[in-house]
Amino acid sequence: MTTKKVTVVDYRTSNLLSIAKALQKAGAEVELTQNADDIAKSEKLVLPGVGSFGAAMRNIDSFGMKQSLQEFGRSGRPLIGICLGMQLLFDVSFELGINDGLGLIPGEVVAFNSGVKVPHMGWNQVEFQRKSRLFDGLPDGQYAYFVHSYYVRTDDDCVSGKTEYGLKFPSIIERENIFGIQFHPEKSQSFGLRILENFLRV
Amino acid sequence: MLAKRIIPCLDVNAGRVVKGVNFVNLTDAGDPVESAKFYEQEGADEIVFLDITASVDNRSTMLNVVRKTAESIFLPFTVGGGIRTVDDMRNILSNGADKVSLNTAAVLNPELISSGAAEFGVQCIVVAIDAKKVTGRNEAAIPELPEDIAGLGISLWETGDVYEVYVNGGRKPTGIDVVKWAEYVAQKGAGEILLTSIDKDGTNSGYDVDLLRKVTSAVNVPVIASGGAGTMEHFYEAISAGGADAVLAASVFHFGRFKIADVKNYLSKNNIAVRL
Repeated sequence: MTTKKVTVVDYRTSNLLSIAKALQKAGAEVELTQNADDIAKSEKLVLPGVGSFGAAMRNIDSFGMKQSLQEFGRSGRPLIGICLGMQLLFDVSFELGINDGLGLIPGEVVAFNSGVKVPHMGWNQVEFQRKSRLFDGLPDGQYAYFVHSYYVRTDDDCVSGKTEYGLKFPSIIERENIFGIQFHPEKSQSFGLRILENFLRV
Repeated sequence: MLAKRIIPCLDVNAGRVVKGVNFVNLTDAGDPVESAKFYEQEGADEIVFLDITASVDNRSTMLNVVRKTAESIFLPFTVGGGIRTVDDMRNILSNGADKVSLNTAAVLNPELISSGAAEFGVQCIVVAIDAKKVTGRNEAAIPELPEDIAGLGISLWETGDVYEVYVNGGRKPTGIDVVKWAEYVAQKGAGEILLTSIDKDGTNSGYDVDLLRKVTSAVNVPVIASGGAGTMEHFYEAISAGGADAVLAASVFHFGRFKIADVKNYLSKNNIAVRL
């Protein structure tokens, strides 16, 4: 397996270790950073995240990384947001108040309120909406591990995968060089690892 | 469709699995990491570790287990037992566990639920409830509740079966009504409830479907059924009649009475969505 360099943004999110481990397993050479300059210099970027949207944005701000994340996203180099990290790519979230995101993809983050149990927790299927570089070698309809109470509302032309939970919500988003996955690839066994491998090949 | 989860539970004492997985060709069946890897291969949807270590000195041993597990499996896992503070939670989560499970500490200090949820998100906070059906108790023998949860007491005048919350490993009654407590912890920020029937635990006679039904219809967070698994039909009952979102079992898997894949195939044939 060829080594691929990837930088993981470390803003004290609690699942950092698991993400880094999964990326290594997928063949990446992982560097963690809390530094805006490192982000600017990196080849490929992973934005993880668990917890609440507002707290995550405040943490990113406190490390002075917001602007460099936005610049990286617009630079054409590959960026992937995972779980809350995916939600942060959008304009705004309504989780515990109204908080601005990175604004790299148009859309908003809203609560599940269609009579389903919240959080959406467990293994659910990802239905491919179109061809994607992330899907190489993967069959449609595989199970991935989800844990979240909010989902993204965005244009269908940004959506590569959807999942049914009271409604069909975007579980994989993609716009040029920017990707996002709502589930946890680091907890989704071979399906999740293959998605990460595919990202490393982008 | 969201699949119903099958979750094996491993009891860990001072870094060793007790009541261990005794039928497998593991190099070391007492090693929690080896056991977790085995269950990942077997098709477990999650794994729960219950740390039953009595001594505080051995806490760091569990953190080591957590870290090694996180490095070895790509599956969500929960750690419960002995978690008293937000710092305890942080130690476990930052070493790679996905969720922490609170039991006695949540009863002694309900604010721990909301502080944990605020710090790590509700998805990380499981509240474990050990429930026992109230029989033959007189009102005077029921413990008085602290002021902040005074409204959650059991009432013996209520019609139908009443269940009481027990703490300290199921040994100590609290006077708290299980359904009211479940509603309370969900509102405080529990992202999931792990509901164990003390009456059924270890009997292999089936889950307490009535208890499950009462709790799953009262709260809007996922509920894990625990205590009583003996046959594959029991898993089906917990889900279809009890409304459980996930089903936890220990001995039936550890002693190889049947495999996780057998349970999943059985459920699938009976039109329950599972991850095969």
